[in-house]
Amino acid sequence: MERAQALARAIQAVERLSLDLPSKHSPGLASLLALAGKGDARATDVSQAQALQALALDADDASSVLGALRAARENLRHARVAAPPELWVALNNQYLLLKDASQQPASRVLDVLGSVLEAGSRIKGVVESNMARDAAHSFLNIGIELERADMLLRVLRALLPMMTANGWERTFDDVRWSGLLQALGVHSMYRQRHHHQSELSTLLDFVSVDSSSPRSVSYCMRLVEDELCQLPRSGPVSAAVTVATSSAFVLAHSAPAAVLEDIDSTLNALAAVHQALANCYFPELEAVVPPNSEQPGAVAPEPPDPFAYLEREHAELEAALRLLDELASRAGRAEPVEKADLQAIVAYLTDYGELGHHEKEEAILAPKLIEHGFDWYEGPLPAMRREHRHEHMYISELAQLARHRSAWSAEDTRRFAADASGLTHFVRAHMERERRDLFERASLSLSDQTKHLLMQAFIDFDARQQKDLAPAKSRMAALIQHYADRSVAEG
Amino acid sequence: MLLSVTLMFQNYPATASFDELVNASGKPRDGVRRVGELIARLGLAELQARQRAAEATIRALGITFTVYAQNNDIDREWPFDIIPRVIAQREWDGIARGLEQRLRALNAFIDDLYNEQRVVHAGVFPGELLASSKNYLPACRGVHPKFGVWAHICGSDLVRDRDGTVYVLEDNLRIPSGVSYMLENRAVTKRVFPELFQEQKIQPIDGYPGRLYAMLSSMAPESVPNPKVVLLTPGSYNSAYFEHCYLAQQMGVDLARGRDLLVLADDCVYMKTIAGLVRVHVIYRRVDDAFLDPEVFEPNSLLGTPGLMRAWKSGKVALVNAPGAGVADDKLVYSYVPELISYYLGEKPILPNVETFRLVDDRQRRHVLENLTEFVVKPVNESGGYGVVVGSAATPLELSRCREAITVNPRNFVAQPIVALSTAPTLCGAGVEPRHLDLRPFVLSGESSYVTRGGLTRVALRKGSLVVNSSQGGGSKDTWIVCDD
Repeated sequence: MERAQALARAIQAVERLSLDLPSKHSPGLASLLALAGKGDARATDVSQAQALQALALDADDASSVLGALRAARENLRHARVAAPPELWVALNNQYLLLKDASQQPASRVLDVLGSVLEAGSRIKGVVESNMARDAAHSFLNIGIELERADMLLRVLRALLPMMTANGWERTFDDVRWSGLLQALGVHSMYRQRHHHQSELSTLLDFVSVDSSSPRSVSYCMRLVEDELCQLPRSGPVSAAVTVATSSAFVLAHSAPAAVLEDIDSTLNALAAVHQALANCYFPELEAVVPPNSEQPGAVAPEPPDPFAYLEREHAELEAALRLLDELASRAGRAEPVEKADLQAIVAYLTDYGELGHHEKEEAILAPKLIEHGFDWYEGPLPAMRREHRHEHMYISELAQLARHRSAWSAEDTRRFAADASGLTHFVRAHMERERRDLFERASLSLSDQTKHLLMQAFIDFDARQQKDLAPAKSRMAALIQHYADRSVAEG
Repeated sequence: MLLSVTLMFQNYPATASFDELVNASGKPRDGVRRVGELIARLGLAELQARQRAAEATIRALGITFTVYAQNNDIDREWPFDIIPRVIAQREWDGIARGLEQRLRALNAFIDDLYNEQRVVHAGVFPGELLASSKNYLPACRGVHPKFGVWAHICGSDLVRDRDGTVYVLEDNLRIPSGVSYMLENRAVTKRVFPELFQEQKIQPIDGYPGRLYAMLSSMAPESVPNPKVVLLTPGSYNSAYFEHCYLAQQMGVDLARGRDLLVLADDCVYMKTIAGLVRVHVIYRRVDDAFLDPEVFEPNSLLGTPGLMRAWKSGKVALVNAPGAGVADDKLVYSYVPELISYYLGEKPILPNVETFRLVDDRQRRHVLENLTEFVVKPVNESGGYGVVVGSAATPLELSRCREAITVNPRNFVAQPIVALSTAPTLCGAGVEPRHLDLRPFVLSGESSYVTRGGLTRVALRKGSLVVNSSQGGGSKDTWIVCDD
């Protein structure tokens, strides 16, 4: 539905442009064909009618408006049981309306495309007011935000070439600029924020990272992150979201010659989020939830303790926290802090802490505890997940500081000291809470045999991750050694 | 009012069949008179307008059924006639008692077949028929489902002959479908005929999903406070997928495919969720026996779940209907139901069977083959009207093929005299005409039993046709059980 809306909006905007621009300077609907994966944006041998047919009415292609609606309807038919009935009625009616209009003249088709935009808003309203707040709701919202960010960048990519006019054609810059903003669906929001500025850099900033625009990539990613907080073991997806957000920041500061390339990079990063979701929640489900293969009577020779294993990881993380304390103290004393060192600590906390330790807790420990009666929605498990998300926010802040290209300002240094100190305090308290509220209770609840299986799953997990975690771990070991040596040298 | 009734039904063609609403004098029958008058009062133009409104509603709500042959848009809108089929409450009460009686006997029969087989030893049911039954599953021997119930949900097809007698035409005990359409028909009718509901005492049917859920929950093998119930579907390409979604949604249970479930070494069934494995206690399965468990039945099945039979036999999960219940769905078994009622319950059948000729019997087979045009020949294990040959409507080639098929494998067929099937007024093009119909009520059986108030009325929309199946051009009507005038 989000795709259908974005396409309908772009078609309408380009159609309006054709009324204001001399025909040979109008981008024409053919310029959008590339957006729908149907040929070169500069194609000139495609009539408006053919382009409209391909973009709006090709029911067999999910890249057209009708095809996207049909695909959405088919998806909903499969998932009807999880959605409110009103959602089906709203989507079905819109599909039937456009399907019927496909036999009508082009003007009627364009009218109905307007109703696609209204239907999208109606559907969003139905979802917000009538749908239970469960995993289905989270996945639906994640899909909406991902598609929104993706289509925004695709429309931008398709229409940017028309902005490179020169000579007398520049007379129409205002018209083209307005058309582009309308096609992106940001016209009035952009005007409120930047009035009549028509700089590409301002637009890139607005669509990539502006926190006031619900269509900016970073805004969409923030909403995705919010939804991920509601889902179990979302660590790998969160990591992909962080990369996509970073990519949007790069795009915001992109040089004119690199814009298309940076748009593609961000689109790839969004695709990676989609892939991470698929890997995390759907095809890999059996692999990440080890089946319970307990055999009655089979007793493990020596009861292993997976909780001691997790506490050993806490101890290793504590070493990194001490180092972060050290850097924070230096910053507090206005001594220089090496950003490369901070990058190494951030990489360690992300790779070893989040993708290693947190993933074990959320993807292996939590499902096993749920099988044994722990509650997913109340008690220590949701607390653990919440705190992991909170920790992730701190780490993201530090990652941003570490990526600064220029030297830190005094304000940056102050922020670093505050964030580093905040993170170390928070993580220590979190580890203590886990030990007290989760590990101890879980240890009492699980049989020795289950603990043995859990331990085996941890070991298998680490064996699979070993190669990926090795660089961050070795850099951290070297760094700890370096600061230990330095401390000795400084007396 | 009488004038409007006269106008509406004055040209209503009389047929040799019993009409559910209009008597031979062209007036509404006693017991359903008021509904007939109310419909007549609306007039033809208004009925046609409301028919269009009903069709628009069906389209908007997406009430569909799936047709395998169509590649695009595999879901077709549900064909529906707005003039309801009406049955007087007093008559219905007797029918409901008969249906409950029948299912009690059939469940006792299935339980007996998979355990002591007393009915065979007593000579009531021939052992050779059991030995040649395609639906008898040796893998189910020795199992004792909770409450002795194997067929928890039954959809029996009822027809009314010329003399007004209601007969049971067949019992669907495997995976009876159609109940969602019964409920949706009512929802649509309430939208287009609100005033008729205000003026009539029409028995509500909306409680079915709640009754179904209560029955399913009661089948949980252990005394768990909130048993996990799922509906197992073959997937969106199944002809009844709409119904699967509808019932799961109405009951508030998860819809699962075979690959969403897992049977572990503890013989328990788990559903895979993003939060981990969740134990499942009851499975309302809409997957055929043959595809239910590749460990036991069809090894290449992707629709079922390996180990499901193991879990069921060890009492860790309830399967509804139980595997093997289809043994009583055989149309040859149907012919023994009156004897089974007498044998197991010591009662006289309340609802009669349609006279059925067993073609394994030489004498009966000879009679049928000599008079084939007077019979309907049915394969014993098919459903949905597939393979049925109506002698009077068949071409010589079809009759010849039918004769040959019977001769080659007489066990595979039964024959019944052509029942005239009652008619009811149906909106057809320019007017209201009689069309043949049947009725499929649904019976739930657990610790206690429940019969829907009415059922799914299926109507043959083509003039003179006796084929009511939606897959073969049939439509449907809402069924009203009304308090007598």
